[in-house]
Amino acid sequence: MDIAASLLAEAIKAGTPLLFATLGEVYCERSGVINLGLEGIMTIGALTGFATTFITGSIWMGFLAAMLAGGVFSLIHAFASISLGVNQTVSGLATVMLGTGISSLLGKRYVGLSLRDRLMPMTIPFLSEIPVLGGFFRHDPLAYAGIVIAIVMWYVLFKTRIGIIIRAVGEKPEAVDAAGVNVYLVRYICVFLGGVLGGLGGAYVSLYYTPGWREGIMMGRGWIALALTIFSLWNPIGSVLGAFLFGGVEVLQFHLQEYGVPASLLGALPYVVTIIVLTTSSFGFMRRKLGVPAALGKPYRRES
Amino acid sequence: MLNIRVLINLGNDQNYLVEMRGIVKMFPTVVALNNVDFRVKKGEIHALLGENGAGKTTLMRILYGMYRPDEGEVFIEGRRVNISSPKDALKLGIGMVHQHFMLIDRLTVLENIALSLKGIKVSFKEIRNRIEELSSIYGLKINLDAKIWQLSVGEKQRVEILKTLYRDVKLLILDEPTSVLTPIESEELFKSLRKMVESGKSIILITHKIDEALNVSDSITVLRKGRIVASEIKRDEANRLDIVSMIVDRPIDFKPNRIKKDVSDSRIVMEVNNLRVLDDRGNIAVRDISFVLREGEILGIAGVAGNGQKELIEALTGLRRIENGYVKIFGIDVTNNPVGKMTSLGIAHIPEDRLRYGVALDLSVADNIIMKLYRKKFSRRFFLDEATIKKEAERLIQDFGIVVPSIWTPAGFLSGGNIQKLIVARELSMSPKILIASNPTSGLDVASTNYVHWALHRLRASGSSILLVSEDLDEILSLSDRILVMRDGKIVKEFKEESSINDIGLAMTLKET
Ligand SMILES: Nc1ncnc2c1ncn2[C@@H]1O[C@H](COP(=O)(O)OP(=O)(O)OP(=O)(O)O)[C@@H](O)[C@H]1O
Ligand SMILES: [Mg+2]
Repeated sequence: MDIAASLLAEAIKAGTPLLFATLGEVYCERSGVINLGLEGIMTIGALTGFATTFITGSIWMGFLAAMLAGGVFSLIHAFASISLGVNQTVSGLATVMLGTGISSLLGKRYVGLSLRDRLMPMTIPFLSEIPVLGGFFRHDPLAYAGIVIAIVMWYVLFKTRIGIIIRAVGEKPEAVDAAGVNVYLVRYICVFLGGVLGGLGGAYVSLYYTPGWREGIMMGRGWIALALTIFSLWNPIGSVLGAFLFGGVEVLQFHLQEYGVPASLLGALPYVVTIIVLTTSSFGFMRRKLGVPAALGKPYRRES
Repeated sequence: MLNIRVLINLGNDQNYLVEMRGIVKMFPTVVALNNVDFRVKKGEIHALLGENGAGKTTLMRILYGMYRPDEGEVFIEGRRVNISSPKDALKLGIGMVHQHFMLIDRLTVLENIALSLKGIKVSFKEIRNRIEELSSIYGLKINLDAKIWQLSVGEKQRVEILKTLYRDVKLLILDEPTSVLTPIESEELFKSLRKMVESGKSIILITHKIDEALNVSDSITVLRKGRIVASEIKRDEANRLDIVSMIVDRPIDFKPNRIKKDVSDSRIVMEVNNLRVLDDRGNIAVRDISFVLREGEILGIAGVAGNGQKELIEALTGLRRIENGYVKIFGIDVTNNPVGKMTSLGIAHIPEDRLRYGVALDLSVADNIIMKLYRKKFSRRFFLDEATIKKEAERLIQDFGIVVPSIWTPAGFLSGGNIQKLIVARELSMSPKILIASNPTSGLDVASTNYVHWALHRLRASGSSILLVSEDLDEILSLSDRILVMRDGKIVKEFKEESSINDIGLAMTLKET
């Protein structure tokens, strides 16, 4: 196995949890809701996944439970921001604190334990031997699933009526309402989906990437996913590129430390990109090109 | 003869598609509708008239399930119904085209139509075929793959109508469809509406253009201040004067004098030289135009919408980049200067897109009024001067007859016409040296239109100059001292003397002779 291929493989592995979380957030924001609570939701997913696998002995039960927990937990943010019309930044930050807080409280008994069931990489014969690109073909089933999900989500978002509705709700909810579609329901579903995928991303970390449970296990992945959502220009395919790119950055960071390159510099890259995208998109004409949902962060109220 | 019919409860007549009875709607501090009865027959075009803020839009929003009435009942085909959302309305076969369009700019026409359909499974191919069929039946041509932001207002309206036709509605509500259309586009719209009525649909048409109501509708209902003044006046029993007196309660006494002023010796206040401007799509919209505006004149720009007028005005007011050429104001080069600079030079602007450039809907009426002059006129040291603001706001509301619950009400709660009046009032109150006005009376009722015309004349009499762009040829003709006709991004003709609508209309549509 050549070094480049193994670096690529590592990058994909590191990028997969980011990918799940980013994909969820893309749908969430496309529908007009910013969910800053991602870090908390992923942490909840990580703990639920770990605990469930530990108790049931089945890693798939763990992933399933994590998705459910992430989805249900995100409904707190959905209720506050969609039904009550609370400021989404406030509600999102509260979700982070609540999620990380609850997890560290309930997770104490799982610290330092390890699992028996493990996710096995499915190395695809022949293809995985190709130099460099071979790195694409030696992964666990979930990493493959992530790419498939991204493609499906892209198709749904841009080629189906469901996607039109989601985008429209994030652009001009009053128009969707006037067309007889339930704006609140659409937003709830998108936030829930965001939670499900966030939970999955969290569990990928605690069950496979760095198996085990400890406080602060997410190490800011939720925040990076938020940045990646913007970086991807709210596009699921862009999310794949972004997630693997920053997965790569994470891996390089690790390797380059040996050579004395300051890791924090690379680590700041996602945020630098975010700032650039946000600044350019503040120009009206760029906004239209970049795809910033026009109603992003604005609660919808039907008048009287 | 004044023909006013008072409706008594007549029981449920099968001939009526819609019956609204005893509708009451209150907003905080205003009674928008006070015991309103309203009926529409099957297969008719029914015009709903009334001054700005009379409650027309509110009544229709109740019928479309966007507002809940505080009291009253609605019957559809004799059956009592409860319409609590647009979804319910659509199920009952009621569709509405809103005063401010409900389209999503970044989606295509096809996507916008698909959005409003029932069910999750749709075949875009099927939709495409069906729309093409509908467009040809009703004469509503449209490019299905264009993005909404690329369309003209008239095209956007066609999309809205197609949306409702696709849902196969029995009743189509159109809220002021023609205040944004050119006369030619309006004619086309009415042709389509006629075809719909022939196929058994009913149409409710809200309009401020009385002649239009008299020409196209089968019957007329008039609202004033939330009450019915007259209902179901038959077309042949109606005459213009009676209708006007039912609509308004203030006198319409200003007759613009058609005497043209010869200002060819006056000072030049604005010089436009070889101006080239692009449209949103990046095509050339204004082709190297040159003209001058002189002190104390009203210069009208006539033309079919979409021939570069919008881009020209935006360029002159600093809202759009000028690619080539220059603009001088009082001899100072202001090419590509920011909007704020223009304001400080004494230029006021009544924009075409009033919701985008004209008002901040979340801010109060008072805040909107002081928005442009807060530094000069409404401040005391670091603070805003509340007393002066209140006085000025109340004066403007009085003068222009703006219907507002209070000056602290958010502008978004005003009726469409009152938002327009608010903008006009603010811009005129700045006593500008130059006023650039796009369709200043669009959406205004007869009395308000008349008042604004008077105010424009008064502004000119005070020595200011006005550049007037309007789709209303009568308006251009009666107000302007000089008229330029724009076509295909160029000025194709100039009329200095008394001229007729026909001459101008011809120049608008024909090539330069
Ligand atoms: N959401 C709201 N909140 C408070 N007041 C409102 C609201 N909507 C309408 N109003 C008030 O109700 C009254 C009637 O408004 P409506 O929009 O029905 O008038 P309209 O007849 O459509 O006028 P126009 O011709 O100007 O469009 C106005 O005084 C308006 O300020
Ligand atoms: Mg209205």
